[in-house]
Amino acid sequence: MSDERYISEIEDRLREAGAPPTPPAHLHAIARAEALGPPDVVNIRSVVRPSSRVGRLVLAAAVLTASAAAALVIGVGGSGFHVDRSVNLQGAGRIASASAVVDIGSNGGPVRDVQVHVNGLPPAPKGGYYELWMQDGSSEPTGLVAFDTSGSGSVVANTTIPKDMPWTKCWVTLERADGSRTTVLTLA
Amino acid sequence: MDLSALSDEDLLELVAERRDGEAFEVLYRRYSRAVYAVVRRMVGDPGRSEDVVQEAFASVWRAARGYRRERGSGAGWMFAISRNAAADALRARTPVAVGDLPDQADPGLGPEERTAAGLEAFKVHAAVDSLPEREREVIELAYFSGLSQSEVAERLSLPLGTVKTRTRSGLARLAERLADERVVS
Repeated sequence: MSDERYISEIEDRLREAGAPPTPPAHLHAIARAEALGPPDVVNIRSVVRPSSRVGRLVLAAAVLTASAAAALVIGVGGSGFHVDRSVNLQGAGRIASASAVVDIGSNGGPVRDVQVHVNGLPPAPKGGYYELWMQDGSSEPTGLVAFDTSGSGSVVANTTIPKDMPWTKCWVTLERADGSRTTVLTLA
Repeated sequence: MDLSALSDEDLLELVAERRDGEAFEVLYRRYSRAVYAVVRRMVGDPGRSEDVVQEAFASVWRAARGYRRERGSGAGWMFAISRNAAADALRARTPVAVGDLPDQADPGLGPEERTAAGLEAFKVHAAVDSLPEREREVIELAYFSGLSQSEVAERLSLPLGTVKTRTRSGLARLAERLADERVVS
């Protein structure tokens, strides 16, 4: 068969097959957890995380400092807001007992307050930190807030989201200094 | 070691013999869209399809020891796992009442033809996802989105010549892989 005809056959096969639907990004972490059990490395592009190793270490150090001072967080926000919706997250694999409640405030202003109450999550390894993500069905995931836990495994992290920000999924990852990422809490 | 260069068969053996999580990751990246496409086509509902895809990949992890390369390609095995997971999910549904059955037979493809067509599309999708990113994106825009090469060049802000080179090289790579899978002669 000639080269041209060969290529033409491949082109026909491509067109016949058509575009496959893209599975949602969170499915990777869930499928891996389902298969392998323990927490896992996922490949999700972040819109806020530092891209360099130095940047990660700086952020991890900042999170550690904030956590040591007040069990808190990189981000803004506050307490005392009216909760519009609460979402429960649960640990996977070896940290199945870890959990979190994400409280999303009412949209009275241009933003909604978001408060994350984490329990039973061991402090991140050296140079690492945790990050809360949200995503709707079609967009890239948005990293919302970085935090670490205290020795008790607990923390309350505050942040805000635009009042009209669409989302259907949220989860927490462990971000390591080497740039790898593990999903540690998913929707319960 | 870069596992992404390994064949499906080698990756399945790594999963089976060494319980290699990275090999599983490569298989997931290579097959997630193909598996999801098969499952969506059979199951329909997106949420239910996600559950089935989870189960399919869990089956890959559990059952990799049962894979024998002398019996067929890794792609064929992955397809069978996906279809079985979807079929299990469909069987678990509430049976359709007899009164709901159509009066006339479906004039479309029969079950065997549908399976063959599905397997071929599955292999094509997996082959596309095994391409280097720079080639995959031009192939997808050209053949899945129907853009001309000029439009692909504009969309990706690349010179037209680069798009042509990447397309040609991607098609050649696909030809090699699909010939191995006997999708093309």
